[in-house]
Amino acid sequence: MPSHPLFPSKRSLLGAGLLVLLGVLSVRSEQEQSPQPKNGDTAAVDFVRDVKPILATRCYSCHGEDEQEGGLRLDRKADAFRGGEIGKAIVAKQPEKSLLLRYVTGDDPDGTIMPPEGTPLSKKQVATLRRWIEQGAAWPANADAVPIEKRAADHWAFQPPHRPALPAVKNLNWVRNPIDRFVLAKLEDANIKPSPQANRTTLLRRLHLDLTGLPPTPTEIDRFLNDQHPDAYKSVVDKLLASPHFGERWSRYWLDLARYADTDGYEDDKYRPDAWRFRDWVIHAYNNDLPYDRFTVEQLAGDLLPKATYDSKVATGFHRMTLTNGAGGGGITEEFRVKTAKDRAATTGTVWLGLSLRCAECHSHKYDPIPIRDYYRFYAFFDNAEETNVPAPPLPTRYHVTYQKAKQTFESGQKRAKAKLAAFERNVFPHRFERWWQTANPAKLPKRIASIIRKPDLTKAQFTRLQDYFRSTDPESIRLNSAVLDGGEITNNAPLAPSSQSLTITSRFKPRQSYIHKRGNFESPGQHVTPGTPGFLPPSKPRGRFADRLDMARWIVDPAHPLTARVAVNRFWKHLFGSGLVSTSDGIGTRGEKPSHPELLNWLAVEFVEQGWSRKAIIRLIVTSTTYQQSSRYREELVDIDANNRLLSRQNRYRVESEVVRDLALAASGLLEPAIGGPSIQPPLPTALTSIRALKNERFMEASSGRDRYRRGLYVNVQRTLRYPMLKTFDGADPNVVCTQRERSNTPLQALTLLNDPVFFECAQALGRRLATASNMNNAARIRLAFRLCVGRNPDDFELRAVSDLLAEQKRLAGEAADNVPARTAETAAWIGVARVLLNLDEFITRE
Amino acid sequence: MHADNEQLLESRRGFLTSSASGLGTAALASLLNDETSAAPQSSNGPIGPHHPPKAKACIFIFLAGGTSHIELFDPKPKLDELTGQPLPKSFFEGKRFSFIKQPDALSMGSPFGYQRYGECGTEMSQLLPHIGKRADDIALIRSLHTDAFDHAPAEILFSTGVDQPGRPSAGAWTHYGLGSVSKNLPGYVVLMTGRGPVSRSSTWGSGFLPTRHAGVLFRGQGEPVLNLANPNGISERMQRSQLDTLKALNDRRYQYLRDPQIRSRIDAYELAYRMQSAAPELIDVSQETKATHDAYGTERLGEAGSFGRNCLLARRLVERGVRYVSLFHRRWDHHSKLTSRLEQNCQTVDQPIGALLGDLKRRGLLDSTAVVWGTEFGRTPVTQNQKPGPLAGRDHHRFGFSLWIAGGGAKGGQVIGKTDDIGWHAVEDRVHVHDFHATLLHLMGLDHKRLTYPVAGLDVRLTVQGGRVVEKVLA
Repeated sequence: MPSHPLFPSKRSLLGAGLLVLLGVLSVRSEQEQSPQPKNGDTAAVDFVRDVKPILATRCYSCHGEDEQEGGLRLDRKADAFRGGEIGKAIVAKQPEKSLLLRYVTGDDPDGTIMPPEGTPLSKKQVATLRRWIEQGAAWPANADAVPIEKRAADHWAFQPPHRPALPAVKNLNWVRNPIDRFVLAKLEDANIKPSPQANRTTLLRRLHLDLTGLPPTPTEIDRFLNDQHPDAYKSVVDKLLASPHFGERWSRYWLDLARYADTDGYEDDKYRPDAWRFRDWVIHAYNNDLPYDRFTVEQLAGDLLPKATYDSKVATGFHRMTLTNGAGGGGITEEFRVKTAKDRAATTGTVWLGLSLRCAECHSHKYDPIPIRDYYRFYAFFDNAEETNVPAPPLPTRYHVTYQKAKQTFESGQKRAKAKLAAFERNVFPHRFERWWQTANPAKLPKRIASIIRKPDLTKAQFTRLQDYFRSTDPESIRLNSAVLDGGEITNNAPLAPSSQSLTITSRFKPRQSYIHKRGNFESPGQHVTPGTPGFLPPSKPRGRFADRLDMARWIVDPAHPLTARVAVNRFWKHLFGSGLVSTSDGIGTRGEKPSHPELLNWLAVEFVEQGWSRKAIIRLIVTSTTYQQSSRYREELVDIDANNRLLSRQNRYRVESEVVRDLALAASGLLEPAIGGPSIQPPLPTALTSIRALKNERFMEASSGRDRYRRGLYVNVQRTLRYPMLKTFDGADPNVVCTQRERSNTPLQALTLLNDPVFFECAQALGRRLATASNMNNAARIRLAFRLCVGRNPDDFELRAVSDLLAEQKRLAGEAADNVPARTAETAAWIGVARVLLNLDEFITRE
Repeated sequence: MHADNEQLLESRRGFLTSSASGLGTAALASLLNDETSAAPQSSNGPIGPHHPPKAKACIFIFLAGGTSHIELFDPKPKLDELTGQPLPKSFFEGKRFSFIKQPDALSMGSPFGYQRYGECGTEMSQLLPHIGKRADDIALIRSLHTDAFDHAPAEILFSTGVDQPGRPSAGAWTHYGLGSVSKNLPGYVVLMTGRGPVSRSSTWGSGFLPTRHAGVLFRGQGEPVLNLANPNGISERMQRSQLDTLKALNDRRYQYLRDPQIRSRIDAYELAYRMQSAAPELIDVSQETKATHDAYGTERLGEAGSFGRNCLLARRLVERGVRYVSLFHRRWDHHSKLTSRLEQNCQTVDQPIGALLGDLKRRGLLDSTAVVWGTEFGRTPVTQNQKPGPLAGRDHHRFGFSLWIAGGGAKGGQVIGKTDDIGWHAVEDRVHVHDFHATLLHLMGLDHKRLTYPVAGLDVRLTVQGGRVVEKVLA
């Protein structure tokens, strides 16, 4: 067995010193002592229990279904006893004649030891093989390995989900809905008491952050705290699910999977002015609770629907979020086209099926039952996808006005820069050139220049060559020339006219023949394949002779599909608890972690389908459970029993995602512009980024003006090669690949961002002014207001005192900062200091 | 998955002490309750070194994607002769291979020449003249081998000793073992040119070690660290007073909730504060001479300039007591067009790395700084099913490839180990990635068998799957 990374086998601990790999032309092997069968160790060896696992984990990969190195195949009885090209691998009762033994012990005269990869077999494993052969090498009739597509057929996630019976629990009072039964049953088994319900303010803030990503306002807090009705909580849930901000919050999760970006990627990384139309489609789909089956079919095959609409075509933009290399120019190379189609196939597998199909691109999947052929059949669905843009509703006038203005600015800047350059060329350049000509060291010049620079008589062409060369190396010339291209500004993008099209996918008129790519190389075509879904899953139901993308999409959302609903509900769970029931959220294949609550996952998956694939229904169910409403307070007494809270004896407490960090600061300070949808916006970039020469080739978007500066993080321009620093620092998704799991780091660079980034300081200023000018309030009341705006709750006495002291201290320090600081100014400065502290609290960016 | 657990263990030891000892002003001390103030001093220092270290710092240059040992470090005249032919039949007989079986995979010698460098005369590629100049300081290992042959697992194995995510990187282990001389900069800094390793922070994370041992990723574009200056109008004293209150409030919350993440947040703010004074000086490279800038090529366009600036920054970090610097460059996965792509890459990295070695040496820092050229695997001596030529490339190759260590107590001017005549298998003085880890730790004064951390009742270490110190490396 391969050793677990945390619990290595003793053998592997012995170390790499004993690791011996195969030598080729001159072989030097570090001989391991030949294992001797232990005296008296004659217990009967059972093939299935003892031998097969060794063969399966250490031999099959080269001597199995995919490959038969040396003609030897060890996964089927007949083949195994037939042996390979150089002889019999297994000779019953004659270990010394069995090549298998000779090779695994390294006793072979040529020094070869099997397996060539990883550590050699342990002595115990070798002894097992030896005894098995000695005892007659019994191989029961039905003990052959199962073919790849049948392998792991019993893996839990590949079984159709069924609705399990609700488990019995003792404390029925704790149960609000079926979810609680599953969770409580496990807790009671482990003798762990669940946590008490979180207090009402925490609960309200949790709900707001989870469902809309925006904090509750003081008014909303008061209303909830004063609402004595038993359904008060439920009505908040309903209100938030109906809020248009719900779609903003939840669409971002989906955009991570869709690898959403506003630029093409690669070197050019051109702006993609229409990407946002897909983003808005996702927002609206969530807000309208578009059923997940419909949501899926439209994104994968909205163009093929019998009644395809503009909206269903925009949905296919999901697979237009791939990177584009040099779009518009010389056309798309075959290599790149294939790469894109593979990305689409793999992304579909990851997003909807929770499987990493990509592993089967070069060879049959190591762990999941996916032969290479099945990978390329799935790929074939996307081999025929074509990129098409369709007309979209034009943008509102203000975008055209902004464009005209930007264009004018750019052009007049360019004009000024041209004038400057002309003056330079006339007055300065000749002198600089002359000086260089006299003094340059030919040894340091390229040949074509060095060969002419000292020539007494130059042709005109040679002279121009010299001048051009100098121009291309002279820093001043470079600066002035690039200023012309840049329009005299830091941006090197001429403004783009507002665009009105949507990026969509259609099918190629004449289908391509698809092939297996040997070892993943598209230039080595193997067998021809037709589009099809993986064989180990229930079959698809093609409408025609061959399945097409629409058949594939419908197959994914077939209620009997074992993976789709499970993968989806597991993600909902993750977004509401910080970790999924299967914690490896990017995969529920055989390599994924086992679910903490398998029955609950089944139950939710069935419920999801039966609720008409309504996401809001499942989210409502989860957030109204007692499980969800528990306190998130850390339980030190459970560290040794359930350190990672897999049993859910409390809620989890974690830092919010990067976009929400921004949203919280904008909302608490009152700066937030809540408009929904539309083209992405660009917050000002730090000059430390835009001013340096090394980034001359990067494309900086013009900073947005007016209220657009204060839009939510969701709308921040996603530039693949230059991600917005604040979002990146807080672990925003890398838009170049499907992102199933964001990191949650905690670094000093995040602290610097919240303290000093201009956007966050502007928030502190706005909040400080708001507090300083709040009417009819004493300082204590203002501090309470500040806490409620930022963390939803009132400060305790300690906190009140600490902040009062801070206020006084800040006022004093502000007064000392310069002569004659007016009291009012010092007062405001002090409140800004207070605001800055609260916006930096751990609690502020934490969902508790 | 064990992070929370371990952070808690950590916090049990650390929280009482650090909240008291790190307190900013006396005025605030009174705001904290007596129990906290009375807590004992921290006993939570680094656990090493175990023996006198040769290297005080490590600059770990990682060329992600798999650099070709055939072109760069391991000359193979025999392979040159075979170029264009399938491997001879004798080569296959009675032997086992992992994946060569296609007749269209043809032998390909390096299209680039080799030359002897330095007094030692070590042969390295003509593509690496600047690194070659430092040959006398370089211990070149030509017999490295690893277990994984796909990027992510191989990168993670090379970084953490295990091929799956979730384990501490060698840098995190080092930082855990030795702490950092610099209190004002992160003790483990990650610099990156291009997109970096595919496995991202798995290669510099802290795994189950407390998060403060994780690498801190500096920016690769523009200033390495943004937002260092206080906003206008916030004086130094106002800043400190605000941070003191912030700390007191966060600590209050910690006492109420006991979530170890709050402690990490507090530490992060304190380090951020110290970085505000230390980092501007660090990243201000205007004080460096023009000759230095030219040597590193900091003004070159694109990736070359970025990599040059990172190499310069690495030296400045090490000078200021930072323990471990990881420097990534990703672009070495040359499945096709190897000739042109490799040449371009070498132009990008050769000059800055050569400059870094020379600069460290001139400043007397090379003796105490181990500089490593690392990569997750080498590349096949045969093409990836193409005809040798400008379009051909090589596949991933894990059975034998090259790595070097310069300085930090490594004996320069020598070549360790050998691959066979065509560069396929490491056959002499074989060095597994685990052995490299053990050796690197040894140079840093750490015994890889004693640098352990308790996880679920086991003492886990970097070389959990084995490893031995390669004595020949040591000076």
